[in-house]
Amino acid sequence: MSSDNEVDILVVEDNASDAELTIRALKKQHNANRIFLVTDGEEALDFVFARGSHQGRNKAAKPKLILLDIKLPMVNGLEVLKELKSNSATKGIPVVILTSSAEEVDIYESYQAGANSYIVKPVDLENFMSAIANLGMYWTLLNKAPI
Amino acid sequence: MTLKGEILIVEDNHASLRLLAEILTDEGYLVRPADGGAIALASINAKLPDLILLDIQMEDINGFEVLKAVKQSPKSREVPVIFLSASTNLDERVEGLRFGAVDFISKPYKKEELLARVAIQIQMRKLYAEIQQQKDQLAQTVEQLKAEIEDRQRAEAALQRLNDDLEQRIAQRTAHLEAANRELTAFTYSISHDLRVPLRAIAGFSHILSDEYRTILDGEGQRLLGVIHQNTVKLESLIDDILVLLRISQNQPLLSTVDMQRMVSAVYQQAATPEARARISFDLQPLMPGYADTQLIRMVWEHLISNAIKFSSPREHPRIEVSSQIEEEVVVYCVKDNGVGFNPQYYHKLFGLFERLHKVGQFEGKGVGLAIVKRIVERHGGRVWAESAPDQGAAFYFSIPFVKEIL
Repeated sequence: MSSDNEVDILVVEDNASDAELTIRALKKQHNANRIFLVTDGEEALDFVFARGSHQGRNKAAKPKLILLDIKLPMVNGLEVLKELKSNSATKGIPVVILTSSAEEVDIYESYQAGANSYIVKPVDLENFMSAIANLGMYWTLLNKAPI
Repeated sequence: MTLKGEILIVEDNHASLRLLAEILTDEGYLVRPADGGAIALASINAKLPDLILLDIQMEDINGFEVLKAVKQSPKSREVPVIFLSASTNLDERVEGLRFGAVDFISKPYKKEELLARVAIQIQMRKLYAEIQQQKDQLAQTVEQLKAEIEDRQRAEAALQRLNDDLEQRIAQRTAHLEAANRELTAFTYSISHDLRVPLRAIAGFSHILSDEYRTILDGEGQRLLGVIHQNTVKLESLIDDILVLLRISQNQPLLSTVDMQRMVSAVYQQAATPEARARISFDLQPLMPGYADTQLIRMVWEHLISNAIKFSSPREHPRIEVSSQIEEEVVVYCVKDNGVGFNPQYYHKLFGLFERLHKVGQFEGKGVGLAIVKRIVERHGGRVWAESAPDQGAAFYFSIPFVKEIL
């Protein structure tokens, strides 16, 4: 994990096990090393906007992909998503909702709020790995043309 | 009224009194004589006559005083009074009428005139009495109606109170149900979200362990990790089933015409492997179309047919028969097999959640399928039941309301 200014993927996940599995899968599938983990919605926004606990971070260096859990302490994932998508400086960052829930209302609300994709985390690790691999589209996109 | 009428004659001249009494008695009247004002008032007070013939010139109390007393008393006010007057004095007559007399007769009188005037007053008195009686009856009827109206109003008020009470209870019950439903929704969400998180950790990390530490683990270690993995798969599918059950309870079925024949055929093709299909003799009879929720009713068929395949698989020649028939208001569908059956002793547990009627290891299963079947069929307003004996095969039935219009 890197706390450098240049971050490829920002993982927003409050559950340590899920975070570890996600990061493991990302590294294995995409050889991405510049992954940064934050554990709540407020910190996610602080990181992206380089404020609060992440004041002084290079604001221009935006993450190229954000994996966002919906159920988060304080500011939840949907609120983070809405804030990112309503700001012209950040609305271009692809956001993939990564969650345990297959509840329809979550899916609907995520797309309404401008999520680029929505992945239900499967219990089975192999399915989990292939779900992460399906992020490849964004991965290629962000490797080709920096946003 | 006695006889033709009761007449009080007030006259202090005894000869006149007797004469009057004779004439009127002969005519059929009951006559009460009074030879002075005081005795007349006492007589009137004791019993009201129908008519009073009153002489004006009397020694003790003069006729005007008697008349005044009669007309002032509420009791005797209505009794008609005819003056008897020797005087031709117009003032005296006017005075008498002013005090409330109905007529006057001049003395000396002619018998015919006397009788005619008396008869008119008596007749009027009778009419008046009749009117009074009718008025009383009317008043009584009005009272009865009033009482009846009051009764009804009281009944209505009581009904209103009952209604209000009922409405309040319905409101309470509704609020209670809504709260329960909200809780259930939250619970559903929690199951689909929170229960999966630790399960994913167990599955994920045991997978990594068996993947990346393969060389360190011996065969037994690998086997144990395999057991963990199998159980996570089982638990995940259990969570999925519980979610299905909860959703069935929460959502209204979306009803439309379903081609049951095609559905069953498709379900069987999917549920039975080609090898199984080669062994099973599958007898699909023409099925009535159903009016049901396509997705839900498909689940019913999936569970019943895969059960039939599963429990008939030990047979050398497995046989499954699917049929339907109309029974009064419902269509009954039946899935029958020649499999191992179940013991009717445990019938009450057959459709229960997490109940299994076969020994662990004998047949795969979680005890959720038939609970789902029951829940779905009941949501359609139907019923499920089954017949079997150990080793005698089993027949599962479900009914849904028959809708003639879809044919």
